[in-house]
Amino acid sequence: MNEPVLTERHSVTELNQEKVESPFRETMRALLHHRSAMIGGGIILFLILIAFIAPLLLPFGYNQIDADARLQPPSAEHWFGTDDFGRDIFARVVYGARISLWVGFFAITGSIVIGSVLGLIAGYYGGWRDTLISRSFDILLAFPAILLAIAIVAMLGPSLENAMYAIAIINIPTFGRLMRSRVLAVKQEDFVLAAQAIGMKDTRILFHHILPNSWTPIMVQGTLGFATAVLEAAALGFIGMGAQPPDPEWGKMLSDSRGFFQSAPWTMIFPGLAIMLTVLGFNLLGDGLRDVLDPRMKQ
Amino acid sequence: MAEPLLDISEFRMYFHTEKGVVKAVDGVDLTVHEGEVVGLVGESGCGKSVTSLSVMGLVPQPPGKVEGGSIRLTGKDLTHLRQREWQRIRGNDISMIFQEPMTSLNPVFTIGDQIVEALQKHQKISKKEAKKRAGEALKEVGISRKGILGEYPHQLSGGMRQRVMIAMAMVCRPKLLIADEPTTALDVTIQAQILDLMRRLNEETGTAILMITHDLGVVAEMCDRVVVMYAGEVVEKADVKTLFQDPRHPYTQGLLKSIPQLDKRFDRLYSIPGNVPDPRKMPEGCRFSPRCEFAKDICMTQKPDLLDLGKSHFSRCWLHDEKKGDADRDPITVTT
Repeated sequence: MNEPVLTERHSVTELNQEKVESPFRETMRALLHHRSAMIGGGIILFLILIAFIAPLLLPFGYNQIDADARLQPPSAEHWFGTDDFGRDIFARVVYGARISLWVGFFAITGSIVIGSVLGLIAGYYGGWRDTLISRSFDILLAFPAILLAIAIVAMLGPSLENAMYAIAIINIPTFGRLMRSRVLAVKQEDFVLAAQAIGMKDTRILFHHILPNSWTPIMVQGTLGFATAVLEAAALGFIGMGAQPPDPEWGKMLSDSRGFFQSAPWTMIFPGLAIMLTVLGFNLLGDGLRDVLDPRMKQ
Repeated sequence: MAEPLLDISEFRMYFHTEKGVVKAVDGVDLTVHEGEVVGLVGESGCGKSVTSLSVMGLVPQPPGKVEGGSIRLTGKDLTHLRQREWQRIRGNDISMIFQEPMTSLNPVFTIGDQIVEALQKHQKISKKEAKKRAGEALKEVGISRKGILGEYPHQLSGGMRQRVMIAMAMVCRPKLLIADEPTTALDVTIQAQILDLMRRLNEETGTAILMITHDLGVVAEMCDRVVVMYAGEVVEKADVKTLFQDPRHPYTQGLLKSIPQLDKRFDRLYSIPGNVPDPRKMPEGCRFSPRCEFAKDICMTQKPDLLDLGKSHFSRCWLHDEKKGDADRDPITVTT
């Protein structure tokens, strides 16, 4: 051990000069090679695109009533047919995409933000904070999700916005518990101790060191949760607790079609297909993300 | 002698668990002077890591609890600091490097980001300036590869990561660097490089080092003084030469005997009989007595003090006490 050792400055400059790639770009690249994720992503992009630009292309307004063209089957003029008020179902489905994506996005973003912060606090500090937060999650999870959502909407009054709040609230525990369990694991890592040892504040460690190392499962769950949120919004709309007429919400359209779906099945099929397509898109993307982000699935 | 940089005296850190009180650190005295390299030696579970984490204020409390004594950094007691005051000291006055370089860096940020973060926490400088300083800090630890600042920890080897950790710990020029088994996870040639680097930084910057290790080879290579711990207590303190040439405590002697030597033939390597006592049920007298081949009646019933043997050599053993102990059987006569 007393031999002179190599510490010349050039001695450790060897090694790989491989190209540096950030984890984000690496993930994106893997995702682009994942077939079902790409299909899901394609569906979602398509939905977003038509939600944005379709109003420019549509010949009919979603609320344009034509008493002479009630319950028309699909035709060149009305691609998806018309409903009992003679409104163009294609226009209503397209506008419905706006509503569903909007509700899904804000509800899930809300639950992710609130759930993650609560989960971070519960997991990092433990003690009474953990007890308080985790038990609250347990209480929320004790109720069937949709029943809880109905109860919340019943309290707030039925409207699309309140349905969105309800969906956000019922999904908080999912993200909170996920985040808590990740934080419990990540806070044991040496780099957290090392960050404390260079004098970092708790908030900085939480949001700068623990959060970025914990949020991959949240991302996956968020994508899958988006699908659930769309379904829940439709369910609330179906029972009249969500979007109110004349808003073209898919669930609401389904429930409106109940009276005549045997004679005019298109009133039910197209909104139903739209819901299915959206849920499918987000589920495929979510599964793909999980595959790509799971270190065990790499290679 | 001038006032020590770090002065731990009679420090006790207990853990209150459901199964009882674990006296992890039970009355430790230790000093580190400016520019000095002090080794803290002992086997796993003897309290050396808890001691070092206590100096950093990083022992979770609860379950940990300071039960007495003090830790002074340039005269200021650290044991009852508030979080905010701790944050100013950590990384700035005292830094720490850890055993596992593979996991001590945050995997989602670049090396540059992490050093800049440490710098900007303690010094009001621009991002550009911080980046420049980060580059210099890496050069100082022997990494001058271009683009290193933009690389992620997974792109580096263990030795490189430990260099980055050292750069990060040293970038604010702390007065004291605590190294918790910094070379245990590295292979032997890299170990030598890292030790050499630390020695060089110690000489160039005057940063004192508290070296926590169970490797007596590392101690011999690096340290000026050595403190040997056993079961939460200091059992022997001496300068490094004295300790290796004239170990007085039976435990230290046992440790030294259990190192394989090239110039001697052994049928079997020596090992200290028995196990470390259960920290919840410490022996009543000397904590080493159940394993000690020289143990006498008094050792089982009364705890020995840390006896001054002269020339700043201390040992916690009854055998040195001429009145109570048996001077004839002073283990000094037992050659290793």
